[in-house]
Amino acid sequence: MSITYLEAIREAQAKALRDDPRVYIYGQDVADFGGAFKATKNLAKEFPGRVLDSPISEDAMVGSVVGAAIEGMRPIVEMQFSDFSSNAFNQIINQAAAFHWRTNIPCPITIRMPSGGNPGSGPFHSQTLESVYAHFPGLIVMTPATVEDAYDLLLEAIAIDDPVIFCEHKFLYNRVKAEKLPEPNGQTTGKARIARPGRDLTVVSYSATVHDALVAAQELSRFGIQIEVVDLRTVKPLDTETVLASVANTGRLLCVGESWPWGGVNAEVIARVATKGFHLLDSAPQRLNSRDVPIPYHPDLWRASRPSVAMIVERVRQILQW
Amino acid sequence: MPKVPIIMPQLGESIAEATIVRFCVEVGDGVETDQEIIEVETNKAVMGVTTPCAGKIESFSASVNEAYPIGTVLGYVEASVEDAERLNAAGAGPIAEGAAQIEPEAVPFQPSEGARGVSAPIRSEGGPFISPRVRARIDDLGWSQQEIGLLAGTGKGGRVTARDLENYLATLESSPTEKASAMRLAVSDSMRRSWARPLATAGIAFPLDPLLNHRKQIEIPPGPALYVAKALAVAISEHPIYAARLVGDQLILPKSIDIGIAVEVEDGIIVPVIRNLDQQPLSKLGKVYQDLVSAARTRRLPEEAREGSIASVTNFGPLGITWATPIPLPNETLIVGLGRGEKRPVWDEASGQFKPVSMAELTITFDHRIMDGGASGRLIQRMVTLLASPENL
Repeated sequence: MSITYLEAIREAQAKALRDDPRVYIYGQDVADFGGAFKATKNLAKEFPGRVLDSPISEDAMVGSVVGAAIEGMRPIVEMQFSDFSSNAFNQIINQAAAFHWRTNIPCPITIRMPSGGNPGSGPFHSQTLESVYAHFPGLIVMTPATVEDAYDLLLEAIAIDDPVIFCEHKFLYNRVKAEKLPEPNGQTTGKARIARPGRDLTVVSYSATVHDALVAAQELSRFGIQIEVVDLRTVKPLDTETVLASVANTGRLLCVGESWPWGGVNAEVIARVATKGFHLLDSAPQRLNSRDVPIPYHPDLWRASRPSVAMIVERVRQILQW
Repeated sequence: MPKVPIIMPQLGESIAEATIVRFCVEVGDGVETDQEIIEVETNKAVMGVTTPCAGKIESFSASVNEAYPIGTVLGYVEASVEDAERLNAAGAGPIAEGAAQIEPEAVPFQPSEGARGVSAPIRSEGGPFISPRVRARIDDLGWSQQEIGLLAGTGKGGRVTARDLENYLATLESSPTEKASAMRLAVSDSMRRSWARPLATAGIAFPLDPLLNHRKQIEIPPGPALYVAKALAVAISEHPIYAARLVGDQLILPKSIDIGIAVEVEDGIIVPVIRNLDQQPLSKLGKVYQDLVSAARTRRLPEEAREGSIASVTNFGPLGITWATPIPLPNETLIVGLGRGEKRPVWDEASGQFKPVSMAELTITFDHRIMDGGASGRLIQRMVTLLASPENL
């Protein structure tokens, strides 16, 4: 049996609905239609009255689940594309994020954000907004790269009392598979993992680019270069300790991510390593992001505007030659 | 023949999947580029999937009335080699079915031009950069930054990388080691700092007999080194500029003629200082020196004898050395070395033959920023003149 990233997300929601009567799902066409990407397929039938269609207004959707959460429910709200969450920005950052701090009442919502690009998806169906939400205190931001982490982290997201931004990557939905789902241990949030050990350079990444980094690692090993790939898994809280331990080992850092460069996760990781781990660095830390342009439609332009395996390989070689 | 995949395209901005309505062609049919071959329905419209290139339909792996996500392979077109190469090179991302995205002609990794296999960098452009990690490691090891200068680096411009340093340390691991004494480290640091100047040495041989005869009359006879030291002190007192220090654009002249005499102690040297040596009578110097030597050897030098010399004298004659290029202390600008006395044939014009004369070499090392060859020559000649008439010292 093999299970895809998307199926893991569906299974996690099913398990949450089964185990906790406070959980419900709210989103555009999530009920009978099963969601734009079929992430909630058949769940409305299995759990009648717990999977509800919303109006096409992200502002209203998030406002509504905040209200339900502070009254004791555990809602999961599905943004159809992470790009549309900007319509709910005020509800997320000024209501959900700050609620517990202001009132001592927790706001345990989980916002599922289908993120990331495909060839042809264009500027409003491709965004990766983890760093935008990580900027605001009070939010937890998750960016699973594997089937197992998608399952584990979504379950933890629902169980956590804080509002969680769950950035699931659309490109991974049907392309990443696992043999089976893990037993959830509730200990994955805020912990990075070493996806591949190495001694020459540390590549820190998260979500879909972890897979690019692993392919690049194989390519580089043909030339005798062994890179260590760190998968952050959760962007906020960020596992600085694991990153520093890796840089202590290798002395060199390249942060790779699909989002734009300004104020991104890569910038945050480099700032932390430069402040706390300056003495560990043998060369200047580098980052590789998508170009600072709105995401293009044309597949060739799209591919040229984002980090690729070839770009990662080239940057690693440049750093090692310094 | 190579095959090219038929991939479910992105049919609209928010479309995630589409359902097959019908196949417009059959397996085995010939097709052209951009020919519509499959009709699909999305939640917005009925649309067509077109061929990626010309060829023949090799297979279909999708079924009518089934939904498939964007990016799924729906079948294959048997295509020409050129088309296959062109399309596979511009294929989907790394997680698409099959091979990793590898450039057709990968260039093997070239290390920087650094210093592989050569003991010194071929070019040193910006070689001295020391990264924070290397600096932290040096601090841990207790090294000075200068020690890195001895290593050949493989980094850009010949810089020493953390890896170079670790490799070097690994080569040291197999060698037996002894801990350096505090004295050794002190001398090492002192000489390293002193060497930061352009030092030059000039030498001259002089006859020893005048001073050898003179010292026989003194109760506690001063050694030849003290005669040389007194001569140096007098010569400097006549022209203090010889012992000036250069600080920025100022020449700092000596306040008093304080000369050091190098004494060998266990694992190093100590240089006790005789203050105002130009004014000290030679007859007393023997005792003064004896006391200083025993004090130096038991590390009990009085305060005023510990440091502050403007120049010093070192006598390596007893070791059998005839000449050497000594190095002054960092705070000194001159040092005079006295070599072993020996009988040498010296031409005597009056008798027209070579005569045996006891001679010794004086070698004076000076800071060439302050003194040139001419001045050093005059200084040394003055000393030789003074040593010819030791009763005047």
